[in-house]
Amino acid sequence: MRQIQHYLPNPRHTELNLIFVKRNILLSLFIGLIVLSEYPGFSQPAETRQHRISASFLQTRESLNHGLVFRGPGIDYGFAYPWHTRNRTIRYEAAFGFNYLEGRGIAAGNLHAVPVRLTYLFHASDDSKLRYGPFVIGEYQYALYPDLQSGYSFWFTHFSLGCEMNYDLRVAKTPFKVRLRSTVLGYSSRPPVYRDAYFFDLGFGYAIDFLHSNLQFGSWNKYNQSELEIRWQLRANSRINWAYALQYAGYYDAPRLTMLDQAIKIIILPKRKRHE
Amino acid sequence: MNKLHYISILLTALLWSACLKEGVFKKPYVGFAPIPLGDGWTISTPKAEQLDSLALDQVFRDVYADDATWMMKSLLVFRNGKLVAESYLKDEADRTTRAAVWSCTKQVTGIITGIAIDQGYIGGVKDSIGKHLPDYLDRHPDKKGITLEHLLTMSSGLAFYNGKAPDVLRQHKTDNSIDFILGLDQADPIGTRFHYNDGDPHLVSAIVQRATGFPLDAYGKKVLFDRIGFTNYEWVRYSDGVTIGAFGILTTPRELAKIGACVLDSGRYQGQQVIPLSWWHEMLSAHVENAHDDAAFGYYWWSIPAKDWYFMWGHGGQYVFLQPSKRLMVVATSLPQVEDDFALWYEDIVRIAEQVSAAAQ
Repeated sequence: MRQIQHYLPNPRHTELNLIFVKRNILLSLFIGLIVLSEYPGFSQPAETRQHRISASFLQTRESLNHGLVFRGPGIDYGFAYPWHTRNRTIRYEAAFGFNYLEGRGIAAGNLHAVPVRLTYLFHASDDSKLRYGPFVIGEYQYALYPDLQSGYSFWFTHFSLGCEMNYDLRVAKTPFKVRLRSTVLGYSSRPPVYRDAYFFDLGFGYAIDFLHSNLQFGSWNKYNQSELEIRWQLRANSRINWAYALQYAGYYDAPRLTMLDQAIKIIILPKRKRHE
Repeated sequence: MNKLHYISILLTALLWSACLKEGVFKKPYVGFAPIPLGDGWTISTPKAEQLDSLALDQVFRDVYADDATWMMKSLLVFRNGKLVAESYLKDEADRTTRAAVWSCTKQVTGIITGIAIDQGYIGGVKDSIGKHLPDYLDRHPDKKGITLEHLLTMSSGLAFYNGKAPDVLRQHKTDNSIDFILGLDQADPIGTRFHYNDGDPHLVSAIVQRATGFPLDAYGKKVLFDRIGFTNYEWVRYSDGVTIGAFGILTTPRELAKIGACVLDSGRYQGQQVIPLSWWHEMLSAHVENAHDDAAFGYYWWSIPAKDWYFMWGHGGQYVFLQPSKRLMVVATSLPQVEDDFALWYEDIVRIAEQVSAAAQ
């Protein structure tokens, strides 16, 4: 007969995973610091921090949920701190949010956090309309389905390197900014396919462990997270920008996961300094 | 066309293209012919066992077509001790894959307890827990009036609420499961009220273990499982070594049916009395009337006396229905982790069992 077994990551794996996590975070910071030190102009930001509030609609199809799709609204807060020079942009972003989900009347919840996304963009032309470059991101998705999967927590974590492209254009005198980004490679973590039916470990401490458990390296063959954002300014000189974003996340090994998030964003730009 | 038109067209196109579709909850229905597995079951046909094949087929078709049973995993029909029909609605692998049967474990606990009484390890249902767990009563003297019968009929009065208390065990928040349960307050005076809970069967498990010297699962293997060919299973113990008496068995529908078949055959297996006949009567008798709607409660066994149904019932929609007068058994299993509001409803499975019964001549 079997003694109870908690689903907990192997301590040895956890230790290694934490090393990987730390390595990724350090790598992100390292890239950021190198870039900042290389370009003195970055020390004088042309813009300061931006705040963003999004109303989103998330759909998630988790293979462990037997084919059910959970959908629901959510709210998200984001923060961006960009620096610009004549031909470079570096941008730090962070975000967190929550979605209330339902599938066949079954309630669920999804927490989402991006503690760091650091983007480094080259300006392809003098007018800076086209910008492209790499980014690094750490992202957590943590979901609970208490009425369908009592006792289990679900997550998708990735620490990734990706590429981003920005393009500015005008349509009927309205300025638009199109942003397209996609992860290329990195480490990801998902729940195991099989878990103990009778015993579970829900709790903040366990969740932190889970989110960083069994991190595996992969590229588009394993997972991808991509986003298309279209931002526009309805009135000239307004401090408010609007954006529509469609975000996709897919994990292709078992247990498979597909997430689609559509969001309307309100972006509050910093006050412009009056030039005397 | 102004700018708002551009934006609205763009947004509409994106929204339209961004809808995830639900997966397929049930496979297409392809019939119910059982497959021989060499697991001890004799395969038969509806005709050979006097079941209306067309009516039975319609029951299966209705189950497949009914969206309300999206969580159902298997439906099996046995008659005269033979497997007549089986269908796995989600995955053929569920035929042999063990899954949690939750509180169907309680009915197994009830059977094994009776065998322990019959073998003289336990004096009888009037034994107080103090007789078998005296060391615990030193710490919890207010529980000394609880008897085995109270525990078997969920009337100990302990404030063990299934919405919360099992999670203490399932999350392993205590080192001593028996101390935890006996340390709970008395919600009701002992023996005054039926209160369905997972604490009482776990205490029964501890009593059987103390009396026989074996954990419930190990003793059960010796006196029940090995005798009826119940082999493809696991039964979980708490980390203090006490088998979970309220839940904890993982098995397959065909294997679970072996427990049901033994009970259906008056406690016999291949002609040998495995469950003592006196206990079989006592266990199935209605000790608590209308414990759930029209269902009565015996020693962990449910029954609908008016319809001659006796049944095992586990969380999420795990059922074994027995109808002795027709030598009929219906087994249904469902997704195991689904909470009650979204589980396979009791009323639905009773209706299905009734339809199968109607097909039995």
